[in-house]
Amino acid sequence: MVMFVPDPAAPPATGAVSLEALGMGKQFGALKALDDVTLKVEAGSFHALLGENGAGKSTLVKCIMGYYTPDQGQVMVGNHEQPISSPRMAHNLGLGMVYQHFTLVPDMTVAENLVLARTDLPAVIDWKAEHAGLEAFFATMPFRVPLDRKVSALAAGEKQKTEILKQLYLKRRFLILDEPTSVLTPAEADEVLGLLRDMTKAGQLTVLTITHKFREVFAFADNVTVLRRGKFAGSGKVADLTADDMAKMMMGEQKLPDPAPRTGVPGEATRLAIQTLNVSDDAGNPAVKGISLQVRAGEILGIAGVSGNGQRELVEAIAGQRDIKDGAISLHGQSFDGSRKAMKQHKLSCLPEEPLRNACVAKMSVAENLAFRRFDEEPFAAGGWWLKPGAFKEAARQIIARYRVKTPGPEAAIGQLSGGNVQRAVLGREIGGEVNVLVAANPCFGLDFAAVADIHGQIMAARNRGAAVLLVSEDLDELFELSDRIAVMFSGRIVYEDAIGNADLTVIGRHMAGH
Amino acid sequence: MVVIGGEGALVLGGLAASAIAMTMPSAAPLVVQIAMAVAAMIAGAAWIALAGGLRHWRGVNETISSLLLVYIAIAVFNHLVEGLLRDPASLNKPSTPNIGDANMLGTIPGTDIHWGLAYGIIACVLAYILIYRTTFGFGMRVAGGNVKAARMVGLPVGRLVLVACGLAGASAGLAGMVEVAAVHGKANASLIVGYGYTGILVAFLARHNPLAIIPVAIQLGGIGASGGLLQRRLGLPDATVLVLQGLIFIAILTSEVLYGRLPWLKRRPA
Repeated sequence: MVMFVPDPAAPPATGAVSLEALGMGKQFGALKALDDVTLKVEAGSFHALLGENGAGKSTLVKCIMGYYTPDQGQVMVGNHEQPISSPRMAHNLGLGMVYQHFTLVPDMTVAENLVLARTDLPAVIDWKAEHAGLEAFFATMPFRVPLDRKVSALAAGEKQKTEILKQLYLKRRFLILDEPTSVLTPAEADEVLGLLRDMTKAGQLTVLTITHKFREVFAFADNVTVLRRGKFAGSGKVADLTADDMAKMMMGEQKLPDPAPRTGVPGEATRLAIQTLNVSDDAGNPAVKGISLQVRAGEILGIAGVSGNGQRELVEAIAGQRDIKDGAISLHGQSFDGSRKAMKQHKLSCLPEEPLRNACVAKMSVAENLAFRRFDEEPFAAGGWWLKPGAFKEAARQIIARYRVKTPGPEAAIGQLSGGNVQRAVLGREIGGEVNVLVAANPCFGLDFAAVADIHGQIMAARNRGAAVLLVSEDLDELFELSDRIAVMFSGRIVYEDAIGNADLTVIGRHMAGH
Repeated sequence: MVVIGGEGALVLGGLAASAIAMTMPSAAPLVVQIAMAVAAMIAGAAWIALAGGLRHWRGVNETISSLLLVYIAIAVFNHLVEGLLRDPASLNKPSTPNIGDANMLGTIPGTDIHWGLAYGIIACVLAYILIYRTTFGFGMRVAGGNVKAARMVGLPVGRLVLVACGLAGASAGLAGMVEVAAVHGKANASLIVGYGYTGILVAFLARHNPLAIIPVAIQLGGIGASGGLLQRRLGLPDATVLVLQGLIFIAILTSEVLYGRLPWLKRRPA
């Protein structure tokens, strides 16, 4: 047995604690997720961590919490360097984290959830004593939830409060919130954040919250740190900053990349029209709320937005992958029903995100996957039903060569290929032929620069040939490079739309944050 | 999609075959056999299509629902064989009336093997052609492999699921008809001996390749049939064959898990 010797220099065991992460670096393969990032959070402050998707916010807090081991940098808790190598170590230091999605057991009561989260549980639980303890604990809290209610019967706001109470019950003194309000209504969000702010004011707690919403930053945060592409992009007191300042930090200086060669102007004919479209997400909640938009021939309409604002559902509805609740999608003025016949007639193509999951069958061969659009016509199928394997291989060889797909051969299962090669294969299948309407969602996600430039060139070429392109992306540089018009989607609605020449990054950033 | 309710379709197929034979006592043997085959296939197809429909319209897991439907099928079978379709002459073992010796499938000349073997081989070859050489089979493979990809290229996923389930059920129903028309001559509890479940094992060992099913099925059938011989000649308990089947199964499962993970079994770069 090792005696527990209290470190005389250790911070006091209750009350808010400060935290500094100095020079943090973390590399994933070729991607530098964090590059010399420094974050300083004072004891008893409410600190907001801002940044676009992929800016490194989650990586940073996961390094702090011990889920990842940083390659460089150190974490100071209460002015003492602490080597945090596991979440349990972070917990022992009083650091806690609340996730975007609930981590409570739905079939258990609030009391059971709280007690079971403890690490020092005895083999036999004296529930009477535990209940008394919980009541005593709740008496000191500014808010409470019904202890004997099952978690599944709680509203989202109550669940989030329970998550926070759980952290406080576990005696956390530094709380990290990862987009805590994304599942809450604005009123619920205000209540929860307001309570937390009161606790920081009282010196009981320090809060670091990841958010995309400027409104919450201005209403509740004392200080803000902004990350951009894995690097520190700025910090300061919220009182000294404007929304424009923060948007600039998030988006960087307005340097637009060289556009891919764009020829011709958009035609007059509307190719893709969407009328007050409503689509539900997997859980049946409204995700796309009454969206209307039009894309003309030879035009790229870019849709910006933080992920999770209904873009995925919108794209899946147009691609025929998701049933629409009401509203209409029409191609060339004709109502579109998601049938194969209509797709062929209107020459609709899609570049979905995660192509292996959304557009391929991993176990089937590259040649077969490349023929998904045309397997039931000549030369692939004689008489429309008898398959000709030779034709599959021949057509595949052409696409493989033209789009530089690295594969052991047309017979290899497509699941064996690397992500970039699957992407190029799907690109070849979808825009190798004639395209009238193209829907693309984050087509370059996770690809290296060369591949990105390649795919951008292909999309632009399709546009130049007269295709109507709907490009949904979380990468603003990509949207500015390719789009003729740009729109912003927030919370299932189009909240902004303008020609690319009039668009301003700062304005778009504010709309993305729902401001 | 994984459907494991072949036993239910087989049992009901056998029942439908013997029931239809009851209604045509004076027809020519070939006509009776064809009618039996068609009735069995329809019964089996409807039964498994039910699982497919539940999957498509109600989102019910087809593996579980098809397995549970087996119990319902057996209950329906028992209810009819012990009631409406019972041959009054079958005293201890409730059965349907005998289909008549003239209507039996008989054996392949020169062997002791009944014509069911030919049925099976033809079914496997047809399944292979359908799945790998026709556009319909291609669509089934896409829809079965990834519903999202299938919908993205506009395939009618619901129809493909229903038809695929129907065809699979028809095959199992036909097996039930063969069992009745070539072995028992009537439908009774001897039909419910788990051939449908053996079918799962066969399909798995054959890695879902219809042509590979032919040797694998003969192999497993041979092991099963050798049980009596082992008992008589070597004095081993008849569970020996179950042990042997279990060992094969474990070996295949283990290799499935370890495939490509044992460093000393990796293919060396050429």
